[in-house]
Amino acid sequence: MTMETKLVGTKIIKVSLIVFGLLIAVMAIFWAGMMTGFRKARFSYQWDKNYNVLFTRGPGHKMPPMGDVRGREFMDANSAFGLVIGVNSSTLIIKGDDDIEKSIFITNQTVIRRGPETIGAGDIKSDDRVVILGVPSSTGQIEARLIRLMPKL
Amino acid sequence: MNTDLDEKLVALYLAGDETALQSLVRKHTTGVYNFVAQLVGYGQNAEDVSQEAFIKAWKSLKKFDLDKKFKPWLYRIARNSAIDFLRQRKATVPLVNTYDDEEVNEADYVVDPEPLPLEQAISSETKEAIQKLVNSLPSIYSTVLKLYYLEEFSLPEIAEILNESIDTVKSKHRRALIKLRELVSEDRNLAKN
Amino acid sequence: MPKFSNLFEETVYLAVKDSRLVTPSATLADRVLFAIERKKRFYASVKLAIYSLVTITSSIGLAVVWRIEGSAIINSEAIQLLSLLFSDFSIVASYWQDYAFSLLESLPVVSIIVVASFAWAACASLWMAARTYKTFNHRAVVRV
Repeated sequence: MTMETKLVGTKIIKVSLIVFGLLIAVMAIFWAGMMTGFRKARFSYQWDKNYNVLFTRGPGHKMPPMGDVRGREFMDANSAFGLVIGVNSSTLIIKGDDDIEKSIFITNQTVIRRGPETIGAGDIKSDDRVVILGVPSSTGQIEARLIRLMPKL
Repeated sequence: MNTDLDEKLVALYLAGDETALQSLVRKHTTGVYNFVAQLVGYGQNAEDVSQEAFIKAWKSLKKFDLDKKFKPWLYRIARNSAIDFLRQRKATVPLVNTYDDEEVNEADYVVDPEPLPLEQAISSETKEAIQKLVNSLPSIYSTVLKLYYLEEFSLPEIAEILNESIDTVKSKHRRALIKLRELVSEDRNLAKN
Repeated sequence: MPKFSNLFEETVYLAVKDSRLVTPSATLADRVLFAIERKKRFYASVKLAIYSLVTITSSIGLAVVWRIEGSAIINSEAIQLLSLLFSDFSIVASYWQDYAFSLLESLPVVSIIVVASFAWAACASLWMAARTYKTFNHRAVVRV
């Protein structure tokens, strides 16, 4: 094998590896997008299906206007961020910037923090701004694993 | 003639060495000028066409296949530049591609009834006389002879330069020698020598 | 060395190979190199102009797009979630899969793509302009 043949072979291998690597990356990104979309769609469906059970109508509760494009987007299934509009010992109602309400289920696994302190569900008040990390339930709620109260602006 | 050096210089230039390009240009200026002059005549025209040829070659240098030889590639560009020049001037393009394709009689070519002397016996006057006769041939013949004997291109390389088939070039080469032999026969002094 | 089929051809070779090539004017090589250099500079200046225009346009575009989309990115849920990485790392690490999904879900992808595209265009064109300027500024030694 001449030097030229070796070099050409190396170049072909290099290009093939790069193309193959790119294909894998593209497919991985596509899969991640599909998975994320599916999870959001599923959660949004469950939320919608259980809306009347999860939320009571009244002051502070607002259905997203039908014509609002944002209201039509699927909801995040694993997290929530927004203002507390209702709270009791086991449930938190959050309203996000998109005006969509989410029901957050507080379990004994849930860690609630304000600053460096760990607090209880009773310390959460309406109009507190929170960010929540959790797991979606089959009833359209998010089971909170971590609730962090953000500093007031 | 070491033409591997040309390819190395091209590779060096493509890698960023500007002096390699200067070396290439200076090395081939005279050869390209003389080659182009056979089509457009010596003087300013040949210089202008040579310049144009080098610029075209420089523009195409990135596409040059380093596995091939540089000199035939350059000369081909030079030939095309010369033809473009003649077309712009609406001058007659020397018949480099259209000529009588009749088969050459092998008997006229292969058998040499009167063997000629070797190099030691060829006087400088004889050489000059033959050179003049070569220059007096139609350019389609003198070009092939000079590319073959002076520049020492191979017949396939000449075919590449002139954009013709190898058989056509071989045929031209044979015809050129036949025409030259006729001219030598007509020149009695030369025939004696 | 060419191949000869007879002595006449060999004689022609010996005569022709000693031909003196007509020497062109002494400045031809220098003029060729100077012409190439001029062409090089012309192409470089065109490239520089194009890259500079793209840089300016994409920078202005970036400023406009950031004004529109910047707040969407800064105030997005994803940024808040990212802050959890620093404040509550142990919990985030325990639920890393849910955290990863929550980030993916909350990323303002369209805003990021738009802003990143303009930023990339601005940076790439600036880099190409700088590289071209470096070549443009380089002077080949040509004696004319």
